[in-house]
Amino acid sequence: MQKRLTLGFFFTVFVCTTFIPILWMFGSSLYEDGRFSFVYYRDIFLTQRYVKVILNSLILASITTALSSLAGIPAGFFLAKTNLPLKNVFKICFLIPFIIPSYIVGIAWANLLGRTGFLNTLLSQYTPLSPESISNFMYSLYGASFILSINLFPVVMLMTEYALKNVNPRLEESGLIVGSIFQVVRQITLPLIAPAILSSMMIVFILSLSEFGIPSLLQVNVLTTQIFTQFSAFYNEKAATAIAFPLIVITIILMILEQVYFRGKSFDILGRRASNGTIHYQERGLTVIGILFCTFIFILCVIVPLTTLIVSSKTVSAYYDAFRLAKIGIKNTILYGSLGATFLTVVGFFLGYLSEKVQSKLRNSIAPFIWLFFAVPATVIGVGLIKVCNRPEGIFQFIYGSLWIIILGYGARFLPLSSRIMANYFKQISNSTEEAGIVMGASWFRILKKIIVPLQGYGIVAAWLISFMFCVGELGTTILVYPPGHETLPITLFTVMVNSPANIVSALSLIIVVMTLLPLGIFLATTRYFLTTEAKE
Amino acid sequence: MRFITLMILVPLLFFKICLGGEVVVYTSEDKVFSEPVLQQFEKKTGIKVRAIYDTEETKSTGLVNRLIAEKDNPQADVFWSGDPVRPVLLETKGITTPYISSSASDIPEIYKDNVGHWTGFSARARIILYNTNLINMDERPLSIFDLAKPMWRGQVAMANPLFGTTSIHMAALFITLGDEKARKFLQDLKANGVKVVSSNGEVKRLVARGEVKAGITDTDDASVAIKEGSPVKMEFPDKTSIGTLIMPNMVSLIKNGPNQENGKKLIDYLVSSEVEKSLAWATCAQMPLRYDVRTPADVLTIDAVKGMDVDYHAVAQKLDEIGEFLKQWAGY
Repeated sequence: MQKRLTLGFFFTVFVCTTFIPILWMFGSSLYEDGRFSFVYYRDIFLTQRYVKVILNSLILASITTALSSLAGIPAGFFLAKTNLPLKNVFKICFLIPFIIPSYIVGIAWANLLGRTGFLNTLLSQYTPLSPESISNFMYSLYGASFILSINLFPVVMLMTEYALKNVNPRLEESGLIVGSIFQVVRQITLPLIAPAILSSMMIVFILSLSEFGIPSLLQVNVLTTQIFTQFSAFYNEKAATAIAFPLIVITIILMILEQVYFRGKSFDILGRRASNGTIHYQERGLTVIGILFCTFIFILCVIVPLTTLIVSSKTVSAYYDAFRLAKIGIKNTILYGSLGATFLTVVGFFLGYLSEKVQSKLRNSIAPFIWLFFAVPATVIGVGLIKVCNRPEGIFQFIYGSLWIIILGYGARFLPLSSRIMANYFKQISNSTEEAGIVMGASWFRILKKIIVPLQGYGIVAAWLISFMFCVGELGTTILVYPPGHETLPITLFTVMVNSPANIVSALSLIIVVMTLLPLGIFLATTRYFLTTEAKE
Repeated sequence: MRFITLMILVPLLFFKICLGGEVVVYTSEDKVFSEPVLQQFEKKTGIKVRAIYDTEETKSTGLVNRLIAEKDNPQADVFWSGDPVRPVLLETKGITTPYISSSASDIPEIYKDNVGHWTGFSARARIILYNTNLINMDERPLSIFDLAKPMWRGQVAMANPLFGTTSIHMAALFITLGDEKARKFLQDLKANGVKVVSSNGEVKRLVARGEVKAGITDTDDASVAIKEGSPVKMEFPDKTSIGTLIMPNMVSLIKNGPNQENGKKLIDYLVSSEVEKSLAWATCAQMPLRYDVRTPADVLTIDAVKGMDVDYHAVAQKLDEIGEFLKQWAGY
């Protein structure tokens, strides 16, 4: 009963925060002049123009996912499995490209690879490439994918790292007796963390599909720019919502493919508590490769954008001015980001459990249901929230006029993400551990506290970290719903970036980086302490 | 004793809060320029201003979408638009309500709606920005039509004509030139390899960096670039022919807003000569619509710029008509 009520409560929270506002938008897009109509949907599937746009979106997402995985999976592996020097510094630094708004990373790379850019000059001097071809690369689908993968690879890295830490070292140790490291990684480790890797790839794929900033900056024609055009040039929210429909179809197809792939496979791992810690490979060669690889990623994804920002911030007074501008934003961002991440982690935990651990016919339909609207663009969600929450009645007015509307916005955008992350870590926990608790007569809350939550420790940390970073950077929905006085740092940055001197914009971006890393560092340090204490118990 | 003091102080606190009340303003004018003006109003009247600003990423249309979505339960009292067309759009959707401010009586009639749905003040204009390291004074383009000539092939940037002030500029061109000539101009521009970028700010960046020799953008972007020390200068185009587009700020009262009276007071303040003066002296260097407002030496007064002869209602209507063409032209 406890279990059913708790899961029911959190599922209701999900339906109210995420499902209803988006469903509202899709519902209204099916009505024109008071009559049921497919007028906004007809063109999408029947026009050649949209086929090209959908293809562009798929190419952008595929290349971004491939590049993010190429960078993120090895980075996660080296951080979790080798004795890499300065491991923690690398880890924190690798989160930076995710924190810097993609728009800023885009401008930094456009400056470097543009016709008069430093890297363009260098490349065109020492390679057969012409300055035009390099600049054209930047302003293309491939350039957009390149920048997006720099921005999104930390998602793959984090999820790979925490999944690897969950793997029972006894399985790998047994493998090492009969085979090489390469064989163990290929035949034991990678298959065991496959759900987490695949899930992170799906998250990156769908995030790239729904990304607007970079395609807009580089003038790449994809579904999100089409949606934006409908919203901002024609103020047609129904048409914009309808264009988001292919994104949902793609999400459903991905979900089905994932289910087909995982059908009948087991990823149960007894987890950390059965052992003590993670196996580390001591091979010198592997460490050297790790150092080279991480340094390369560090230069490409961290040094380049950070240097550009530091160089263009020029003076100390720029930081003073930026800080003055960002005062309210800093306080709000840390508060709302933490509240949002905690909300997403708690609700995501139960939704993840619901979609992965509940043994019923419902299970197979709940997972795709939760995931369904993840690719819906921020603007559609924002307008949906306004339509649902902006009412004169007491509770609605209280929510719409306070910080809670922002937290609801975070929920609507990222609950599928946090629950997905949780679900895939749940895959690694065997059902027998919970059954053992039931046999012993423990209540479900006690089983939760003593068995499930500790075993899910790394999943909870990964979900909180990723949720926090997403909340801190969220702009599209927040800008549409935030009440006066509740602006966050990305809003401050984007409201001042057009006509503020470039040095203040750069300084403000750096403040965002520091302000995000600070609570992240505190969170990582505290959770590390708790996870280590638990492991020792 | 403590209780009595408390009983006196608490109502006083409320008295302070209720004294001026508050006003909610949504503004698409850049925050760096609008915030000081709103703070000044707050200081003068004691009315608390609660502002929401738009961002570059939403191309100044996020707030318009928000106002449309909030129509049934408006949260804003005033919309301060950075361009003259969005208020017309809001008017057609029944979101604004008429208010004729007495402090706008000396603003020329062409910048005011005769019913009072919107009132203009301080203007920007469309200009050609060019890089002085790549072009000397004699070579500079004097007309936007020059930019379609072969000598400028691949050397010109403009923002996506579907959004922001560029869209308004295009609609004004269609009205002034007629549909056929305007379409031909845009097609020639495209054939000449014009670089279509995401925003006017991006045009400024590309010209300042020397990625392109020239670009079409707004006076405020140009002014910021010049004040930053970038090697750029601006040229008001077509002085001897059609002129350039003048884009005043517009302010509107929102229908059924929660603080209508304070909204009217804010409008009175925004359209005053005091605000026009402060915007002329700010980095955005906006041109006052009144002839008697003192401006810095480098800021032209409205009578010194030849403006296109257009009616903003007509521009809004034209923009709606040419939307599909612009969409195709921009490759969407």
